Amino acid sequence: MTTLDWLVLFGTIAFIVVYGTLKTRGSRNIESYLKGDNSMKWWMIGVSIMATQASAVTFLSTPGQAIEDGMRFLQFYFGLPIAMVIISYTMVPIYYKLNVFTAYEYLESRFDLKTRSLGAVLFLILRGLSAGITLYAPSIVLSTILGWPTSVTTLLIGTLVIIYVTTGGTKAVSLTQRQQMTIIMVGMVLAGVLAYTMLPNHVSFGDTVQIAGELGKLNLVNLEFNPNDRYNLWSGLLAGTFLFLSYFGTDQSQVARYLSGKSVTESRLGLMFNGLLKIPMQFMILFIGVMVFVFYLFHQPPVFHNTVLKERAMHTAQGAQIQRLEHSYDSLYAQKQMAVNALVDAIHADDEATIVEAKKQVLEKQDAEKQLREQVRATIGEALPDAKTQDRDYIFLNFVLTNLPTGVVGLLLAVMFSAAMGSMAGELNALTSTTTVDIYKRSFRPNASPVHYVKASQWFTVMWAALAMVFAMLASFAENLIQFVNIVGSLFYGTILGIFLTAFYVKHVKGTAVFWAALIAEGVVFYCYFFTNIAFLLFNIIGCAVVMIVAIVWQWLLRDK
Amino acid sequence: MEQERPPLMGSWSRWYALLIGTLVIQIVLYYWITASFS
Repeated sequence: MTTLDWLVLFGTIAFIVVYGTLKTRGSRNIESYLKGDNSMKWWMIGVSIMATQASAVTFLSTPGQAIEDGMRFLQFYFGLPIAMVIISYTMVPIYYKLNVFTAYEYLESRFDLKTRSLGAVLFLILRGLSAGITLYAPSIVLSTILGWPTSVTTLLIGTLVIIYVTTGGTKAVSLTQRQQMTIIMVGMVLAGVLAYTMLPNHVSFGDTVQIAGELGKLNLVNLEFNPNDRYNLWSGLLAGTFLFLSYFGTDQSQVARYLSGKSVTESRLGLMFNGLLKIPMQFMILFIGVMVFVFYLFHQPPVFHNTVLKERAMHTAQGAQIQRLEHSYDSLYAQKQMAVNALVDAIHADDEATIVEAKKQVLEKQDAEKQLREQVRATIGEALPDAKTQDRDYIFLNFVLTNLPTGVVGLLLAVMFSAAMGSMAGELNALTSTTTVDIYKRSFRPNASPVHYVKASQWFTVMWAALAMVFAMLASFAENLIQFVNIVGSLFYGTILGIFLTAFYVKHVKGTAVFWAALIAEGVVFYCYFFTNIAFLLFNIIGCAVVMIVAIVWQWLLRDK
Repeated sequence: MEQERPPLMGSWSRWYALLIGTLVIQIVLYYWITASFS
């Protein structure tokens, strides 16, 4: 990191915090604080929806996903436009008609207070844990890069977010996410373009795409139906629709974004904006990962991308073993590079047979490399038993720090901070809304003044930020953060979605039936998690289905009462 | 509740059709990329 990089990084962050704080001071009631006075236009809503979903985990991990696994992760998002249509048609008008602050307020008018409270509590647990992960992901990476303790980077990000969210509420969140998304898009495109410009002169863009394709990275769509394969067209369309229906339709962190619209039209248009742009945006981020993959075919990457951790391991008893593996890796990479150059020559000659042979050579070397990397990972794990040896989240970051020009490094780090702060802000805002409206105002202090509720909301923001920091700092969570995000979401989203779908579509079911059905469904999902090998994504469908079926049966049993 | 007419497309049905149509086109395009380059 050079002086310019530090200036760019802190300048960008300071701009976002100061801008958000100054532009949005002075909320006097919770309409303003929690719903932004219903002043948001459709494109701001759309940007806000995308920024809330796209956390630092997205920008750190997605390029790494493409580098290791190809672009097939894109299929995960195919259900999103379908979910946008359903939510726009069904849920948005209902939320507006009832003039709700939170999604769970609707549940009281449809069912009863206990169902509303249950929905709110399930959401608070889910989102509270997720906020900790959202904060933890960039904290550990930044602490590694900057050499600061995790507690410091966690406190830093958390405190900055508290300042502008506490001061400006929903408006501050939406306004600053606009700046953040701009920085993020510019930074990511720049990274992709620079990765391409640093390729050898004889490798054109067409060659780059063909190389990536030949080596299996352009595996965008898989038509095969295989329940054990997480990423294919059918799982994306079906399970993905359920997941995004629940996330965008019932999770307050997203509902709050489009409830801040000036009208139903503005909210719906914001959702349409998200539905049109999300998949191309993910395509772009994945493609940037592919560009970095091709870059690393011509420039040797480190054998282990978390270089700081590797350096620590080098000073242990396993250091010599790691060094031997590194030497093996150097000579293996040199052999692979010869095979890559042969592949490029074959592509230029347009000789299919030679292309096939060269590709086979490259893939063999790649497999050998992968095995060697596994050995390095295992050795580092022996040397440092408490350390996380999964380095996929460090691939893109390492690329940025090692290869990009000065100034751009600071910008890309600002991208990561921006993404983290944007998501964190959306989550905190949602946690605050639900705590204030669904729990505090509804059940504890129903008749206080508007100013009192704004003050209470500000304190709840600080409370949830502090809790998120505690979750983040305490963690040795799962080995893999992305997996843990999916687990936490899948444990709760299905049940919450089931409650809402019953509310919308099964009109004869009342509060008592759905309340107990939800508790049973949650028990079933936890049972599946602890005692079966069912894939996490399916918990969304299981939870939802159990709620609806049990609620219908329970209501039928209660019919004579 | 008053039915609001959306800008550009004139009706919400057209917007929904646009989203689903765009999704189908993208799936076809991405499948073509997969088949052509893999």
